[in-house]
Amino acid sequence: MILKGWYSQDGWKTKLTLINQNNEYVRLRMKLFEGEDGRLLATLNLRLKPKEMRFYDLERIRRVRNKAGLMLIESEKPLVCTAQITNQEDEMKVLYYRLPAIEEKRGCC
Amino acid sequence: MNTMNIVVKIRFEPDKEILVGETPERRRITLRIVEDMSPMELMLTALGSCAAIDLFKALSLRGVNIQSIEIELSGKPVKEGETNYVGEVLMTYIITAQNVTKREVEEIVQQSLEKYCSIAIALKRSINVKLNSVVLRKMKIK
Repeated sequence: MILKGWYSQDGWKTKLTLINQNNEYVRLRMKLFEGEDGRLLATLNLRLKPKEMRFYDLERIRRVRNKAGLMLIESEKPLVCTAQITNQEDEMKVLYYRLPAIEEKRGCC
Repeated sequence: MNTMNIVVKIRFEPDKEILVGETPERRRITLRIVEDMSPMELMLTALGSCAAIDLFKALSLRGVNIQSIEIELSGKPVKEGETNYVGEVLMTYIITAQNVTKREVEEIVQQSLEKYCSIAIALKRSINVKLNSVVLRKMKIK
């Protein structure tokens, strides 16, 4: 499955919550782009333990500092991810959403 | 994928040396005998086209900028008595793209050939080809 969302480290800070609902390990690949269709800034490969909930602060990734854009999370098994985007000047301004899954229409016909 | 049967009609006109494949929606392909691809080459073309379309869809969804996808297919002929067929197909992918690693493409291609490329799956599972009926019409002599 592929989850699609938006991150912002440009005057805002993004924290992700990744939840593995499976009873097995889950590998996932997270890609962060510059803008909606810009270049790929960072790729992270993570592995979540069974039923693990992990918090991931995008401040840890230098390459996305002062950047905002598309975020794609690809996982071999079902996964839940939420993003909390907080304004750096006014921490009362918070955007919180769950990343939707993109429907994969594959094959040629 | 649509669950309706996929129907095509082939018309071979030996005098004109052409083969015409046509769908009920009147989408067609005309093949000149000798000059154009042989049916076996067309089968490889169908496999490569399906694989390329599926790969394009998968990469696009993952934010990859694709300039081109080339697939070279090589069918290994097998002879069993009087029967000739392609026993193995080797596929070489050449992809010109941005925002993706070789490893990622390899994973997606592998997944595509195992799970999503309809033609590859059909060929791997060996399609059951059965004779439905034969109709013989009398030729009108001019």
